[in-house]
Amino acid sequence: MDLQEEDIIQIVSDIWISMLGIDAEFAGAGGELKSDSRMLSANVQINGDWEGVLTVICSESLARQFAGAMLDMDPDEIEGAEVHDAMGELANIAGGNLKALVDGHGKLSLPVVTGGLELAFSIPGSTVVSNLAFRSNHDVFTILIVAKDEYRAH
Amino acid sequence: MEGNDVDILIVDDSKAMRMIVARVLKKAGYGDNDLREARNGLEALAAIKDHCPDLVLADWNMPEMSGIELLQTLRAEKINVDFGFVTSESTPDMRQKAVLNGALFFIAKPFTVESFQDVLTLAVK
Repeated sequence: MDLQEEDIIQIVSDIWISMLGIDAEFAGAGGELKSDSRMLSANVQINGDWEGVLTVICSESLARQFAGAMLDMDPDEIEGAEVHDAMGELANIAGGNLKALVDGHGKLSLPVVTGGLELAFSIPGSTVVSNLAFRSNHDVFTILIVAKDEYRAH
Repeated sequence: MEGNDVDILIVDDSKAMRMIVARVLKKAGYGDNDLREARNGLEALAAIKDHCPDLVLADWNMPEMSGIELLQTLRAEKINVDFGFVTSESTPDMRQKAVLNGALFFIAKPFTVESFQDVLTLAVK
């Protein structure tokens, strides 16, 4: 199954504008997952005919803005658990839409959200098939898709 | 039962998503009354047994008890409350399973106000 970059871009753009009312403008290939400030990542797994992981990665401050838009609250007044909840739901929606692209019979996991100053991802036997950056609210977030080697795009 | 008079239970493990669904429902002309919420199928089952709503809007993928397990449990217990899914997954298999178990509709995330108006106009009578 070849993942088309334009399909991922369209999915992300639709989710961000529909659910958050925030533009997500495609900004090219995703870069290194390092930052001077705390980062958050939210991922969901798809297990079935196609197996892989979709991860949303951004600064904690941008995640807080996403949560503010979803909860209709001042970002500075939102608790950490609510920020994680919002990030998890964004990954869940993106993963659900990815699943429709790659496999109709797999199972989508519940989201897992982690945070830190430097995020390193490694899934043995898997390959990054898509690493896309999006500009949003004067910051950047990344959508990273990793698939088991036998499903990677050609 | 029409528009603002509809008693709706929103079932989703994400607080952010429950709030978005509630906001969209109000924009679509539903839910001027208090909308009730549950965080998973088990909580929803208890809430429905306590006070049966006119309509249940449930996510599919949730901890404790999923949306489809909730629907199957309700039907097994002969509780025929109107039921629709609001979920990020909407494969043909899932839609078929939902309909076979008595779901009225399937709204895929991301959604719009119009997505809700289109199905609720038909589902809520």
